[in-house]
Amino acid sequence: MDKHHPAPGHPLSRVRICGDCDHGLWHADTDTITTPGAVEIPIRGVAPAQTREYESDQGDSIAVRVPATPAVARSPEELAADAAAGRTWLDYGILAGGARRLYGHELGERAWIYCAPDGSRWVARIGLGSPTQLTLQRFGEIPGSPADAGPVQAAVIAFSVMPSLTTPPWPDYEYNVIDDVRSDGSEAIVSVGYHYSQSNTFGAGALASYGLRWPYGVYRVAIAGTPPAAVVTVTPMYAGLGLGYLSDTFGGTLNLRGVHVFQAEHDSTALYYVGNYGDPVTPPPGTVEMEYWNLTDGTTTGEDLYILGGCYVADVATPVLLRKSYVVTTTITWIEVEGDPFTGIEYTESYDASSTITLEIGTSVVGATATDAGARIGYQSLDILVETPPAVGDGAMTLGGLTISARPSAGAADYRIASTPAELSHHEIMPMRVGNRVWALCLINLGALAPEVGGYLDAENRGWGGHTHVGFVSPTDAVQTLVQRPLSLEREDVTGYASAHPTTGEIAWSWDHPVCWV
Amino acid sequence: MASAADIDFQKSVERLLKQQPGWKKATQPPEKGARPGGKGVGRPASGTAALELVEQDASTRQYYEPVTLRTSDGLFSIEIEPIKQIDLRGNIPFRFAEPAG
Repeated sequence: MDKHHPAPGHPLSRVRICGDCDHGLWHADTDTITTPGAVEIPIRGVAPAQTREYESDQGDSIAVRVPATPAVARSPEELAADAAAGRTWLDYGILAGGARRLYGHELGERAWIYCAPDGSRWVARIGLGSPTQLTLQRFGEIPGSPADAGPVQAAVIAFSVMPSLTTPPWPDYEYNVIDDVRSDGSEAIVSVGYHYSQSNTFGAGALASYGLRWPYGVYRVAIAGTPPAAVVTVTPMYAGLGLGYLSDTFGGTLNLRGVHVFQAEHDSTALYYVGNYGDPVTPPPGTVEMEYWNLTDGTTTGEDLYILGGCYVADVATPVLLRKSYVVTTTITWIEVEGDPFTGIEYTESYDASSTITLEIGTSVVGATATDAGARIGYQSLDILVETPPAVGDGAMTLGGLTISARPSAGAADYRIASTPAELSHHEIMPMRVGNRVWALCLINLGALAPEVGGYLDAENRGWGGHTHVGFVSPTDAVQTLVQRPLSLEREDVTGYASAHPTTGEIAWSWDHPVCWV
Repeated sequence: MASAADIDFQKSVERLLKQQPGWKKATQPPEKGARPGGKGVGRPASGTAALELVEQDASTRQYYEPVTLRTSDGLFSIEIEPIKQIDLRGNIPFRFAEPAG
């Protein structure tokens, strides 16, 4: 009998289907896969691997679709038998984890499967050399040949901006990562840059093992044709030295509400003031202006937009965006401080502020709006030394509609009302890649951190809680949550673990162990 | 040792040879060595070909319930249906035993 028969012990048998049928959600704590039929099966071969330090790729789950592959046809009885036995037959493969697990083996980092127009399949791999090259090696051919043992083509990738990243070995905080791959492998998104926490040696989170991406480039690397005559092209989604900064807008209407102080021309003890409410200021007769206190009120608005990386939404390269917008409205009223002669004014600056942070992949969005309102009592005086009245404010803050804190003292509006981005009090905004199609947006309460790891020095500003998760977003799913985490700076404690299903986008996540759709 | 039946049979043959000597050649042992070539004289029965096992219609093959096999490393699975029966020309069923495992 034919020893090359796929089931040599069963000659004349009919092969119905073959391949890897162990699919579902892998849990690292039990090293098992929960199948769609809720059966626990062991994972065979290697498990999805974590290969990077400052962000997660263990939840990466990339579909590999070979064009013209027929759909899996199973009868209801067969489906029932499959489900009971923990078998799941798919018409696509899955590259799982940072090392791209396929059939229980690792293709390696920066590697994926390219399906050429003639139906042949190839391992595409981006190297670390200078210049950066993409190699193509035959994959999955039966029978194979000795020529398949190595790449048949190496193409130079012309990244337009890739400072300091072309000469290996790279420092850990710099990254060159395959963010995502199109299902037929004809395109991949490559992000390069470095992580915030390693360069920010003074601010909060300086010693953290997580880091906000500051990208130098987000590129689409496309392959066309059949190796060894394939053509590789690079199209930037972002390239530059702006660290992902795409745009900013600043607007609103600010009004000068200055106070003009006049002095009698021949009597220095006679003082007058005139508030500027928008009308022309008419000096009192026989006076000269001696002081002007510039106060403003009105409404300011702004929006800043950053690109963090990219992923595929229905096989279309889509940027992962962080959008920060804010609206602050202030009104000022003042009264003359009692005294004779006039020496100053006391004013009340009421503010109503709202700052919104969103993480966006296509139309899927997670985010938080923090609102704050209150009043700040100010004082302007001709005296050199004056005791400033204490600030007041309710300081209530909500995130996603949930009240999470009332700070002990609002002090003033915790927003910059100039052209700089809005900031949430005591929070660091931390969008982070958790998988190829799932990103996390975290608000980290810096006030809760110890000073040696970047927290505030004064206890009164260090108040409540750990850091606060806002949510995960994938192309077709978004999970909003709110959790106080331990005061740790480990990456895993910041985001937990998550994985987006390669075809449905369903987000699976866990706070205490890696998960991955395999 | 010859049995009583053998002795009776031998005596009967000897009586036959006395009466019809032409049968003597039939009692001699066959010659040793290769047999000389010759023509066969047998004829098949009317309407019957030589034994030909020809499948009548591949679409009528029957299979046992599917069996899923795994490679030794567990990474590759094959679902097969063992052959159960084929129908030979002349409506002759050829049935296979169900393999174990």
